[in-house]
Amino acid sequence: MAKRTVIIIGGGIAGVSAALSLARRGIDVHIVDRADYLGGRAITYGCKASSSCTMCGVCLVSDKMEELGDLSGVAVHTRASVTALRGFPGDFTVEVTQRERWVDPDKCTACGQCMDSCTAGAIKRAPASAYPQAVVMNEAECPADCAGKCRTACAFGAIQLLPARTFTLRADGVVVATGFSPFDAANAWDLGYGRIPGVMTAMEAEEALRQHGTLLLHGQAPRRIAFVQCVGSRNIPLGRNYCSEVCCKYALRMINALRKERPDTEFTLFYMDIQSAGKGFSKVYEECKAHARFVSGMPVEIKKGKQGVLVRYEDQSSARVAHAEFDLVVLSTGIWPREDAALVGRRLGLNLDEHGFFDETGHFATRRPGVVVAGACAKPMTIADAIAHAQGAAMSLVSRLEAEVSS
Amino acid sequence: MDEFKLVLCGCRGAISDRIDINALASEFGGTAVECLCGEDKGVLDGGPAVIGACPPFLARRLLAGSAGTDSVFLDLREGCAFMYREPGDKARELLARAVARARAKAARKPASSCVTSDEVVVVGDNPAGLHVAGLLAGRGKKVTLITEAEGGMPPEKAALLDTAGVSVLAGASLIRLEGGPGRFSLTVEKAGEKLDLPAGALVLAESQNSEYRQADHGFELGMGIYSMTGFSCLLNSESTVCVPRLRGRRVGFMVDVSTEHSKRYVTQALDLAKDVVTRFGGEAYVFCRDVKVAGKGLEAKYRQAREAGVLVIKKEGRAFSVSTEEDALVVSCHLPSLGGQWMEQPLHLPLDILVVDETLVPSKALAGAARVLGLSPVQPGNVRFSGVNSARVGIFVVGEARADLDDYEQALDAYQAADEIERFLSCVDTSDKVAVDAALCARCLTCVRLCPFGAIAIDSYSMSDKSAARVDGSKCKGCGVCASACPARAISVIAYTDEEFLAELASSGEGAL
Repeated sequence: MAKRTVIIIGGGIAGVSAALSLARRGIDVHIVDRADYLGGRAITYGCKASSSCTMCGVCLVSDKMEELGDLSGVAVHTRASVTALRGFPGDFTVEVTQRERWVDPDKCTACGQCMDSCTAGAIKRAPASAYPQAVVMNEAECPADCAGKCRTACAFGAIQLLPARTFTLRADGVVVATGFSPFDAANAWDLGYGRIPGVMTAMEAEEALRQHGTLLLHGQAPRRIAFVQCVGSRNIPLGRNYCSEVCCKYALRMINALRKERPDTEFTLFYMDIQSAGKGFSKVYEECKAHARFVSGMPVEIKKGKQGVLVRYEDQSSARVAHAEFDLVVLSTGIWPREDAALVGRRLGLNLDEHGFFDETGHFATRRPGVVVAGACAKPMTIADAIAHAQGAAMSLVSRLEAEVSS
Repeated sequence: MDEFKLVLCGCRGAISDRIDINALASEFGGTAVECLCGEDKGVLDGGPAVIGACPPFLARRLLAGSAGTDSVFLDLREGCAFMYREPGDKARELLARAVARARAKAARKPASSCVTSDEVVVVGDNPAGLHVAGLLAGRGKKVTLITEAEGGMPPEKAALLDTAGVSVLAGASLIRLEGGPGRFSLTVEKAGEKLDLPAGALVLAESQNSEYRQADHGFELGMGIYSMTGFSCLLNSESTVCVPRLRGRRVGFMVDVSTEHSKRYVTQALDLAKDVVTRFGGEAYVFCRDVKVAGKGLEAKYRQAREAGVLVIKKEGRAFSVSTEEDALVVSCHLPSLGGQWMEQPLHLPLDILVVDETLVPSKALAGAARVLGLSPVQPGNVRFSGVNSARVGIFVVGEARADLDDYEQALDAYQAADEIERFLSCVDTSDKVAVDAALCARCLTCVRLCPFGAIAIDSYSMSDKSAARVDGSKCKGCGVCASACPARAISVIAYTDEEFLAELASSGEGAL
């Protein structure tokens, strides 16, 4: 039997998990990702352990990324996207368009000589779990007049312009794992994001947690922190008639993790309904209940206060409008379909569901035979669910491809 | 230095500009090269080596195929980066330790063994279990499904498995499990006869039962009070007696009482409440703590129920009381705001029927099977056992057997388990993680008490029988607690023996030992 090839579009945790499952079955895998490295959003999240593990699943991501590094049979195309998909199961032709690259990932060993040489700080290390572990050049910050100091510093000749190109790959099947976009909090004007210092999104909080292990505001630890749930979720005017499923989980875990660092911090959580179902999560919720204030109801308005951020909300116990001031307000932004989901759907011939995610007909399957979806591009899901979903997508694709040969 | 090679990589200046690797190499009798991932790769011949280079996770990847699998990788680049002022000192210390350890390791040839199997036993017939059995059989595995129920499998389930090629053993109960991952032997009893089933991997797929717990609610069922299961049966029965009885009734659903952390009962209550309104023209009230909408289509379901006329009243931590007044059930509580109106008056809601929630309890079959398989009946929370993996290597837990899951999640479980099991069976590592020297073991029980995984047992205390502590390969994680605590020094961790550890320690300079 000829060796089979599968193209995976998107190299986040779902794409990587699918790649591992496929490659271990001896299938040639190509991962196409638009970023400089694989890992997607999940590698930017921080561990949310409090005094014990709260099962956020972030460590599973670094495990999977490491596994990918140890595996042969996976070709990685970074800064690339799939621009056309033709053919049928067993004989797809995939057109890949790759932007120009400044660092050759095959040659770079991430030694850091170029970073030391660059006075503009335009070269950075990829996040710890990213793959491949090559340095990342930010073209916008690169000064044109430095005579290529980084190029001379690199002992491996890894810093050179690899021009943009378009090439085609042949494939038997396709896994779509393009992930999600977090709700753009700039659209939540009334919640003060981008207007008031001290209002941040949960994505920014995750990043801070990963890098510093805590949240800081102007270099100081905030004493009063509020979380606002359901920002961009469960919202008919925004066209979001669904729950993002992850925000209660990360917010409560984050509260427990932050409280461990600074026990004197006061936490308040504005919510509609706590989604406490889920294995092992009730423990997190109970721990959180003991030391955080839960306010049922969404803030009406968030504005600049005397010292910090002023939140106006309905106090349901007295049915009156109340005010409270916080040092930091974290908006728990929800999971939205990728902003270019419609375009990608058109290119690949997939339908979108009522919310704009790729329509899953049955499990993993799409309208187009031989193309399966994996991870949060199909519906909002947690890290652990995205891994399971991707494994399932890989499994069902393999079964389908093999069934075709035998019939 | 014949047993392994010592190679130091200069990383084209990234290391050699800071540390004099030539001097270090000659000090330890090794070789220094300009760059191992380039043309110098040939220095390595696939045999064991001590390699001082860039961080191991990079070096391993770059040198895959060139360096032996049991090579020791040493991080000269990052590990020594903070020693710029006295370059080489830290590198020297690291090298000395690695060399000492490699030498001790080379004295012993580790046996790596990998067996394959295609036999899977599924214990129980929950939906995820049936699904995974079918998937694995479709992938060419020999799958046996065991149920305790004597021929109790509904025909549609049996047909599903029949077409998939799964052999079913109904009315069989588990006796014991022996062997380790890849070569389990499960003894079952069927009609007084004992059978031994070989299995590479096992799947626990028993169910949980939804049960009404009176202690949570404080009142008995009956007199207009139904459990969720009971009311669901009533509503969905075709009986001509029930339907008129339900017409135009006021029905209340009291959920989030027995358990606050389940989607199941809130979802079920919304479904039933919508039916009460739309099919029977009644009134329906759902009293809950939090509406659980984290799941595919659940938010839409919540909205549809409200649009149909179901009134959802959140408890917000307030006490609800149920009493009987003039033959009617009355739910009362102080509700501060209802429909945006400030209500000074307490809620006083007479009902014809009150439906109360239940809780999931492991079925007898689940508890029994878990005991035989050496698992706890309620799967502990451990992120490393993500999804279907259990605490025991080679045993997987799916569907209701591991958690309260909805249909979508149960199907995900089946696919994930099929993927994990297929990968697991393609190469099962059967090598032991620790070795017990039977001649030294005094059967003192220290290791049995200390093992965090309950992996150690002592089978016999008889003086004539010289059996030693026995380590269960599917439970042992190789943590080494037993080895460090054994008073007789009878246990050693194979991947890192006492000899290696002591050699490494001895090389760490004067006074270390």
